Amino acid sequence: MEQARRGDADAFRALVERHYRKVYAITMGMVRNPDDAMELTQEAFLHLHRSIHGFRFQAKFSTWLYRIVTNLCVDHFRRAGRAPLPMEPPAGSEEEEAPMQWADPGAEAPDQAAYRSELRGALEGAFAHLSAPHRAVMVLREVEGLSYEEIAEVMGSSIGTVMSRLHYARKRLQALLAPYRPAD
Amino acid sequence: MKSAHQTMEWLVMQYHDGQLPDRHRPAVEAHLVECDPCRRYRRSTQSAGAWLQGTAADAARAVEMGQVWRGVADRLSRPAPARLRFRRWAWAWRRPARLSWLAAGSLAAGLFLLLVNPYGRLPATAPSETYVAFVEASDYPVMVFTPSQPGAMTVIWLFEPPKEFSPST
Repeated sequence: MEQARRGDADAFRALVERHYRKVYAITMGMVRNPDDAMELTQEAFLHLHRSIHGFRFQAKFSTWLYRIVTNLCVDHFRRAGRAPLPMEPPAGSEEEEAPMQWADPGAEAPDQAAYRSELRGALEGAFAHLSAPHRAVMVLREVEGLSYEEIAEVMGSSIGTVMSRLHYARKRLQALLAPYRPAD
Repeated sequence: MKSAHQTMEWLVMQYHDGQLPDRHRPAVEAHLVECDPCRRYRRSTQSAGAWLQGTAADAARAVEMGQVWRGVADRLSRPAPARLRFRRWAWAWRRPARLSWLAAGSLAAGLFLLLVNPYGRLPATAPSETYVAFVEASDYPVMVFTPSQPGAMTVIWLFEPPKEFSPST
């Protein structure tokens, strides 16, 4: 890290090698498109290269890198003008929820493969309804397994905001996926 | 204000994420046994999390270092934008050794301006009279003021001069 900071190209390459899968997992988790995810991953490392001399070891390196990646992803949505889709939960979905069968391997639908495929599509569709900051907290929590405190540090917000966004995003997903649950 | 159930749902989220203090865990576990909506919430959270984690991790596993590095190296070979080059140059001046040179240079420039600059040799008092001129230009009449500061001039364009106005010099 210190060598990369001093401009050593091999050290920087080693740094990329160590972190590229994590970075790609975040970008892929956020933008859900392999080409965009690759573009953002490369852009993140370019940003890292340009600003690494300013890193002062006051924060964890991974936190700093996640912040670069998250900001790039949020900017990507802003640039592309990809406003979240209207977040209208299906009527009656809040209180009339049946358990999601795909989450319970013991109670599978007759055509499990088709059903799971449909649900994966539904999850993609539901996730597309979330705003960039909501996606970011979901991805940092579920993909990277960061604690609320670490997510708050990455996002530059309070722990309360992180928890609120996470809860909101999960409730939204639950509501949007309600029609795909089988009837009891 | 949150209802008791909303509060419990909030705690269920923290329980699910392993962020709930141990002393609250028995209460949440007991609540989960009896509350169907909270169990559904937890189950959907688990499922969505597993899907997100699985898809992102699978995609990341399939990516090769070469793919990433080619793009990074290509971008690195292009010249950085001027804004960034300036920022990098300015940042380089933050080193203590260079800062001392910068301070010495600033001090020398200040002394030079104080001792050699013609403004430093101006008469102590500026003219007290203000000169006013009225010029009939082809399109619009113009008023010219020489203010009390030497080397400066104020020009006022009168687009619609009042009829009774009688300029004098």
